Amino acid sequence: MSVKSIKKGFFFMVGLLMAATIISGCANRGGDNQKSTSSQAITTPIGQYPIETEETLTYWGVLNTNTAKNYTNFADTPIGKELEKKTGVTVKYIHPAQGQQQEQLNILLASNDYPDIIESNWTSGYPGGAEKAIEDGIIIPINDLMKFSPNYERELSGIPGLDKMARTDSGKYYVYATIRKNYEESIFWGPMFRKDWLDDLGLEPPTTIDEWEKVLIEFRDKKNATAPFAVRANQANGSMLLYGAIVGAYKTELSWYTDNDKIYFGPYDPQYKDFLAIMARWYKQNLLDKDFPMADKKSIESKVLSGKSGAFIGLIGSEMGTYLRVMQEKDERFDLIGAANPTLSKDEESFSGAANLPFYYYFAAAITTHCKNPELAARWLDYGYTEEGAYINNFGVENESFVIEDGVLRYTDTVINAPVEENMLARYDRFNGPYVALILPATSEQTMLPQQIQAREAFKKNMPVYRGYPPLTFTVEESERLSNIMNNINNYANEMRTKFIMGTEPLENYDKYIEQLKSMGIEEAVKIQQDAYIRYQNR
Amino acid sequence: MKTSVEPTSNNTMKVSSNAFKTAMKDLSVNRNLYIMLFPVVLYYLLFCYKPMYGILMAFHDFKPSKGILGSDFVGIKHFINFFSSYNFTMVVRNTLLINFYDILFAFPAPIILALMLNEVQNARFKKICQTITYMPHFISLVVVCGIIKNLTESDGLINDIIVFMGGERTSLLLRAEYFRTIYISSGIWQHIGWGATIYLAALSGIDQELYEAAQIDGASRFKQIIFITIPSIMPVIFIMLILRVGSIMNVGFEKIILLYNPATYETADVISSFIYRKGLLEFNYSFSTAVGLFNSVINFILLLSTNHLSRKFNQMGLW
Repeated sequence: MSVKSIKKGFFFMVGLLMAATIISGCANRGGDNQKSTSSQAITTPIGQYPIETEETLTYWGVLNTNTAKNYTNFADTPIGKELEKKTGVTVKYIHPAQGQQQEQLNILLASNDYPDIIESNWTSGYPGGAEKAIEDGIIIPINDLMKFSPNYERELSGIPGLDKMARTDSGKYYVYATIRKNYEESIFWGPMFRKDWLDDLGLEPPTTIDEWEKVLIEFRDKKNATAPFAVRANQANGSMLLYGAIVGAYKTELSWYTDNDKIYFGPYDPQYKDFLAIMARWYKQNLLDKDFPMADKKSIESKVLSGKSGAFIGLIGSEMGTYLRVMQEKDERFDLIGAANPTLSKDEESFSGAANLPFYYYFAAAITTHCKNPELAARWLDYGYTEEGAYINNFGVENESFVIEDGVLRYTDTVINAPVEENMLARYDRFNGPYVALILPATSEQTMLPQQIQAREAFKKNMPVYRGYPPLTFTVEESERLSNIMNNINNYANEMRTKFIMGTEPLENYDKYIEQLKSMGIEEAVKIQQDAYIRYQNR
Repeated sequence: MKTSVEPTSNNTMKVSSNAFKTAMKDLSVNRNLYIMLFPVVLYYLLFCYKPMYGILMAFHDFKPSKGILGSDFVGIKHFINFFSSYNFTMVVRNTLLINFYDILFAFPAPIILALMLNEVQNARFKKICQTITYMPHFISLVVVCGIIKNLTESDGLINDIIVFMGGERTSLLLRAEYFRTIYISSGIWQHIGWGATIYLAALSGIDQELYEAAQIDGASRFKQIIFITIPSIMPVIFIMLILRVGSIMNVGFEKIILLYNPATYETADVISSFIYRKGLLEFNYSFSTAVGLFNSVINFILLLSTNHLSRKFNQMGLW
């Protein structure tokens, strides 16, 4: 090979390189919004199923990880098939790759070629929120379609305050969200301990921060736990499982929270420093998992199951339940117990906790501007809010996975007695989506271990008030300003929290950190949030 | 190196008609070559030049439903946002430093490996070494990062060795000061064999008579490497270096986002991971495009200037 020919080849490669680096983004497809040209009038009366139609719908949404163990497409699941049979509408489901939903959704939105329905977090997940998504011409308000969704409308007025959550400030309804009928029961997570260790050491599940520290020290010294307290810290892995339980003892939160009609940003609070101080102390004393900033569900599982950790903040279902079932065969003594969130003194109530809103908007279905037949979409989506539809989405197929005896819904033996590997329960549960989510005492008793029921009861003490973030809406200018400020601040606060806890940044610099937050515009962000919160309350 | 200059005619009219005739003649003579060239040109037009239109996004508030030209024109707003953003100095510094260390350590590594392999007498052993060193190149990045995480965590293999030597356990990926070392050394491990192939190809083209002459003159093997082998592959090294410098503002974001965490942002966050977060996660395509454009312009300037310097001092360059 001569030098000259190599050179020529590389000249070409330079061309490739330059062109490739310069390109960003995708070609323009022009704004050809095919507005709904309702093809065929539907003759079936509203609220009656099956709907007589030849048309089909396309539906973009995440396939739940539990479902994905057995099926690659929702249409193949027993629920998907039953829904098709009962509603008479064939739906083509499109699922993004696991863990890449946000990227894939954003690419889909940029393509300007949307399916009829997109299931996503339109309330806080789309930059700028629902109002912006409507203005950007992605989804349509469903106020005019409500007449096709009488069941959804009824459910919205069924729980006080729910209707307010479902609207934007300007009164637009925009999604079919999951409605948690008995939301007081939907408690999913909280602090958990190795019960067998506590018993060995003669300890009770701790209720205050001081007791926590004592228990963790015992775990470290007497049980050789190398990472006594394991937490998930990465925001991407679900912020509620951060140190949510601990931070509440200091009357603050890890992000935005509400208290007495005011909205606060936890990492900007003075008392947040005390939380950092205790975490830093635990880190220094080897009580907190040394690898915590990188921890994820898998690493925590391996730490708990291998006896490196004795305390963690976990989910009742997929963590507590799984661990107990896995360890049943390996170690008979392995046992877990749930405890209420800790407080500073004995007689206090926990500030933060597991309470939820009845309006669960993370997997809410919106009808897009490209939907060929919005009426059909609205009618089809409404089915999840009928009693029959809710049962199918929650419990599967009647007389196959559940039966109703004397008005009580129970799982059949084929589901309950199936081996764990068959994943039967998950096959007959949709987990998230546009329908009424139900938790029935009879089925809980059938499916949950006694430890899980105990944990749920323990966690119920946690929180009388929902302090989380209500579904606020912002104006376009506000949302742009807010995302500009908060993108930087979230990153910075996250980084600094990790550094303060690891001690790479001394806590004496907390004032400097607060100053930095100020210079990054936190005050303005708080004001925008506060304004939106006032508007929300006045809805 | 000079390119030959076509003889020019005095009469311009004649030139154009002559040029056309020559072109047609050339087309018919080299027909097959042009047919082979066609798909390549088409590829570049479709996938490299057509999307350049998307750069316009950087100057608009891009909204998919309105299209690029239909979106509001905002001038250089996104550039100003980027330059005044809190992350600006950090991501630019990190990008440059990672690339600087990469050129310092990872660039010479395959050259050294190729030189060493070239000296191996046993052909079988040489082949085995080559295969083993270039195998990791084909491992998926996600898997490689998984391995790195396992090795560096506080009870991983590397920490076991550190403790054995009397050190203390620390999770290496949580220490901002180690991030570049881990990033670059794992990169060397993964790509050294692959990178060496081009130098091995160049080495095989060296005239054997040169070595024979040197042996007769009594040059040792080391002297032969210094005075024959290295100068012979110098042009290739320089071309590779110019190309490498030309991408000094680029760091692949995949490996970064798989390895970084809040504790290491200060050394690990680079322009491309920043673009990824802004564009794909926060749905801010215009801003991302502006940052990408800025990046490409800097790269372009760097490429031109290294080439210029190389021509000046070494009398060789890409063009």
